[in-house]
Amino acid sequence: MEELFLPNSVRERLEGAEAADIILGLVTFNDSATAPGLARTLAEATARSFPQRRILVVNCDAGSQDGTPQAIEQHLGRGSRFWTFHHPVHGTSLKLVSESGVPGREAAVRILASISDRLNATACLIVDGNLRSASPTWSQLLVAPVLDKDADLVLPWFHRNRYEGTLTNTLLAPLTRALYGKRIPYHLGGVYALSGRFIRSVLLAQPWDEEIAQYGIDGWMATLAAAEQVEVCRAALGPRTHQPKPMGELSTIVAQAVGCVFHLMERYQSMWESVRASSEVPTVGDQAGLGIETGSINVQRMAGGFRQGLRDLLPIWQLIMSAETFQQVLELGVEETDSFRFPSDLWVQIVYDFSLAYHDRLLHREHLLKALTPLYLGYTASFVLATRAGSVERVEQELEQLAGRYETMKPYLVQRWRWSDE
Amino acid sequence: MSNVWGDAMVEAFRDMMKRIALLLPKLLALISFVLLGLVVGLAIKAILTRVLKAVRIDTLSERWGLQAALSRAGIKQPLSQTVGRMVFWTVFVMFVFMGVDALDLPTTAGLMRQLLSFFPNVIAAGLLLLVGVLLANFFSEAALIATVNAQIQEARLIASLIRWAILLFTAAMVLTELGIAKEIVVAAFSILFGGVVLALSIALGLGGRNIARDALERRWKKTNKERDEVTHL
Repeated sequence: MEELFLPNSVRERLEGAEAADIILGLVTFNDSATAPGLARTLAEATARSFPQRRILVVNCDAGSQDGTPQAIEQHLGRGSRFWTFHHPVHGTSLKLVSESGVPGREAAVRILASISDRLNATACLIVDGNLRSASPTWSQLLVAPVLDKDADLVLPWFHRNRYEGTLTNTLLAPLTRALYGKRIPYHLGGVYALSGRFIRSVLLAQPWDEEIAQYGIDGWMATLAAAEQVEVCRAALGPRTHQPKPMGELSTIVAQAVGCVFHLMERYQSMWESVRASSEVPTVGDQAGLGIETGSINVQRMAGGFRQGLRDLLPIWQLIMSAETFQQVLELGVEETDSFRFPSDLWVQIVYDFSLAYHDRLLHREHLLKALTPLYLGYTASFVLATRAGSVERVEQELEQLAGRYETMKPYLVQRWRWSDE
Repeated sequence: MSNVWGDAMVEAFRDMMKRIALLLPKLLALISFVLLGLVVGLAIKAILTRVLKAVRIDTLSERWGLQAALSRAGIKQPLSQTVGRMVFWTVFVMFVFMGVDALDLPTTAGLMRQLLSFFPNVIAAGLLLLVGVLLANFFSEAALIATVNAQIQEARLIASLIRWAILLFTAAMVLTELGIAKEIVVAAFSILFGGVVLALSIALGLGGRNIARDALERRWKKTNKERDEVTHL
């Protein structure tokens, strides 16, 4: 009954199939340029690192037109045990934006998790086919904690430049840390290792309805790692490069990523309400701080986005924010871009107000989440302006202070959340 | 002569008295209907409001975004009270019409029958109006947020245009449903809508050709200068 979602080809393959210890899952869509090399690198490295273990390489493909599955099979050679399937793509997931560019990724992950479960695998490594920077050390870094240290979930921790992943650094990671008390990197990079125990007790127990398809499996998995009582570990994988795929509009990215955290806040309310502090999760690999590269950032454009929000979205923001927060936003103004500053405390208060408004359904939820975009641009512009002349350490320090503010201001969220439930 | 005058006076007085005698019970019936309508309307309003509150319609309407949309449309009271008030007035007006019908005046004959036959149209028109207002708010809000995020300077203008276009369309549908000046409404709507579209096309084609080209180029051929390399996730 529970496996009705599995395509017939998977079910037929599973009947009488030999067990496997490690599943190496590749999720692909038109990735013939990168996936074959990636599959071979990881399959060989995994076989070398864990010679006693039975390894099965499984490719879940969304219907590539460039012969990705065949290319992977050819590249792997006859030495590797290899299965390939087409995973179904549902309508909702087509709206998703993801750097992997693979439609229906959640269905692929579910199939890989089910195969792992059915074959009694101890570990399942899931990788996006468009990654370029995978090195042979990855399989050791990601799989060894599951096999040797009883980790349930190993999340990637990439080496990033100072202004890379600004939404992650200023909202997703610090909010998740303040809520659930685990300092996970929240790098949605399309690679993670799962234990068989985690797959059985947590992952396959998820609703697997439109919710996951709507918010994206990566954010879902990262939040599960923080919220559930599981052993999480982060693997320092070095820099991440990938074959670029077109991403959606920024407001869609914000709505999807932030919506996932807000949505799961409702489900895990009893878990986060009582959490008061946070702690590091174990790390494997060499830890690395932020890179020095600043990249090209158009601060004027960001400030312009905020300025326009301040001009046009005030009636909507007024519905969402508390009177005190709204007043402080009004006072910000953006006359001179260079001297523009957006206080961290105000940003945290805004994020908390948006989460409360999301919970109270004060507005259509997609509208609410998208209305956050100009404020995010304003805070990011201010953050870049305040730190771009300083060192990388200064940026790290600012981010750490911001994460600390999320934690110290959490009682504001808890108190107002309880009021709204009464 | 005096007899004729006297007879006429008596006759007129008798007629008048007869008419008053006939009208008085009808007048009393009208007053009774008005009072009854007031009592029944208030009673139904009280019961309905309590029932709606018991099923937490106010909380639900807030969750569905209905309350926010209604308050933006100028209706600030909770939904339970709004519905209660509407039902009260419907019941009261029906009783008043029954009273007027009881007067048996030639001009108001069959008023109640007409009203009852018209009632489904009124209900349908009311629902159309509600849906129209909600849709207008929803789409104008969506357009406003989308255009602000795309940093289009005319965001509010675009949102207002969408809002008023939907409201105009709704008004035309409501009037058609009520059967009020059907032909005029259809003609006016067609002329107005067609006129607006034509005016916009001409304005864009003649006056804003370059602006439109620049905007489209900016949209689809973003220069590297404009595109920043920030990755948000």
